[in-house]
Amino acid sequence: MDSTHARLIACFTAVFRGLAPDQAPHASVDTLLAWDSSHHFMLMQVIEENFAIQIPEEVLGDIDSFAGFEDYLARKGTES
Amino acid sequence: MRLIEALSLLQRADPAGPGFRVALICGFTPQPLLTFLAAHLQSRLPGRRIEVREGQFGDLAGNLQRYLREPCGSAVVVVEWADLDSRLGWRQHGGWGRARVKDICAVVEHQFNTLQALLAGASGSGIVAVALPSVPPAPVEPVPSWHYGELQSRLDALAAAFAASLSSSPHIRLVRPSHLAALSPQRQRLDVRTLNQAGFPYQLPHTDVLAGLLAQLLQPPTPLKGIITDLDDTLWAGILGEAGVNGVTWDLDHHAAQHGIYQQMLQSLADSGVLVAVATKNDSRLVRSALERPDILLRADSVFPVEAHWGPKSESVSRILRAWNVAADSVVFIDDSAMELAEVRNAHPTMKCLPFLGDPNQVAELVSELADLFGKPFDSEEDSLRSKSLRAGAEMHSRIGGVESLQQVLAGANGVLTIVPLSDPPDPRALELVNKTNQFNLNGRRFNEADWLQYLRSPGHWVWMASYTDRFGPLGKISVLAVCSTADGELDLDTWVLSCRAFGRRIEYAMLDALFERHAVRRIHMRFEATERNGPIQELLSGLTGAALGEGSALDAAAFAQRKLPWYMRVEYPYG
Repeated sequence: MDSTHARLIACFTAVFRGLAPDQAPHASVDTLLAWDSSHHFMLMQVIEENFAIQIPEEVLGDIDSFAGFEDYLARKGTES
Repeated sequence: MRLIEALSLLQRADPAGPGFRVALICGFTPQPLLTFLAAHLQSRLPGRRIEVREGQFGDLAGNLQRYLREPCGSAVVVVEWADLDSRLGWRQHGGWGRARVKDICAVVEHQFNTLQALLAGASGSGIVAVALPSVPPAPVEPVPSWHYGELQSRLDALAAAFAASLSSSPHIRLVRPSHLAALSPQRQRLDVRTLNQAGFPYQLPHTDVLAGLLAQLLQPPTPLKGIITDLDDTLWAGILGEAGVNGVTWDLDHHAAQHGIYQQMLQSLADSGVLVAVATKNDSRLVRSALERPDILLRADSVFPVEAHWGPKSESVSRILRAWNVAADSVVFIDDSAMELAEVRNAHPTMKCLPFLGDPNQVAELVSELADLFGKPFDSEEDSLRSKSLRAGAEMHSRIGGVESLQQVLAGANGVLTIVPLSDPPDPRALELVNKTNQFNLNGRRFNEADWLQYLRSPGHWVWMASYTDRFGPLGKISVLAVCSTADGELDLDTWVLSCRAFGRRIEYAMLDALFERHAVRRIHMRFEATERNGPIQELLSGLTGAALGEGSALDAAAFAQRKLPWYMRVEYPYG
């Protein structure tokens, strides 16, 4: 498991109370009832802080799953 | 603290712990601030379950009104310029320009007055921590950033007037702007991007700092109790034994003003109830003369006791702790000698030992540190009595075993114990006593203001506070007991504390007797819990009950009547 994946799991489980680490990679707006605008904002803040990035607003609006964030981070090359 | 750490900390909290409720009152999206605030409170209250209630977006005054209608514990009020006039916010497009300055200032003044009036009515709730605007207003007035223009200077004056109007309220605590500035630079606070995205105005590091300070205002560290200071090259410049009484200095003329600063600080702390003692290797007669110099800034009558001899300082410190009846971890020892500091630290490892470094800047840092360690928002009447009553207690105890027995001393003391029921809103001294007392404390239970009010207002619950005076001087308000009536003739004693200054006078027997007699009580159930330090109350209660204390321990009227020791004070109940 690469470190981006593990760090992203940590972000998701921190924001979504009760989300198990093995469930996090499958998380999306459709699978997580708690994923509202407030959690979306907190998730963005935690991910930005953890990966030292800023996610543009137009991109952020389109990301609605763990996989979406993982793809974005891979494209940004945040592995280091 | 990072946001992910704050979230993780909150997830680890005990969901079954007793709740600590706070209202976060602001006009912006609260989430990250709420999370950091809860996490900082959680780290200060590890056994509690922190519940932070939020209000409605864009309605600061309305949120405050709703809190006041239904206080849910303590509150945090975070004001930003946009809450006072939306034209000062960064999300509005209402137009900027000098022509708007006067009108904006009038609106802001009106809004501050509204908030001030609301906060003045918050005295029946818990502590309210207030943060003034911390991010810059939108640049309505086109002036360069280095120029202090009309708008900014008038806004700052209005904020300062608002703060000044609140600063004397005992239930309100303000974040000090200069302290916030030292921890969070002005240019690293505002986040226009998150403000536009979600209505949240702060960068995360600023959010963390602000939340930490607000939590500290709601749950401040317990102030320490005493300072033990060295004299030579510490309280004054020079060696008393060499320079003589008039040769030691603390003034500008002798390049020793930093010692005068230190003396002033000690006097100021002594005036607010901090115990100050001296431990010095010196001739005691010279010390007495020097401490009575008319130009000294620390008055001799503010210092007790003075240990002046050639023996080890750790032994002096031990005697001072006994005279004060306080634990080493409540005390700071200050000396210019690294060797003396090490010797005292070795003997009293929990004592904070600080070096007195002669450099004026380092002394300025030292006095700031002392203000942090000992300072509190307000002084009480008892603060001015503390040192005097310790002295009086020492005089009383010096008579015992000498010319008089304990009974003779107590019988001749003309003691008067005055017991009053606590009213609502309660005297803040009662809560201070409950939260500061360690040795004679039934269970070590601490309350915050909101919990205390809730206890007091619960049906069947009542609280007594007792003060004491005798011919050796007044001790002030020295005991609190909190009781819940249960079955007919039975009580739960939930909290009972007695200041260590009042030990040895049998006040505890008089108070128990008052409980039994005034309320025709047959049995008192004691919510006793052993703590590391409550040996004195364990000894008393196990002696009275005739058994080791544990859960469910109770004291019957008959057992009390049989085992109580006589007391000699008069007990008064001025409120019936």
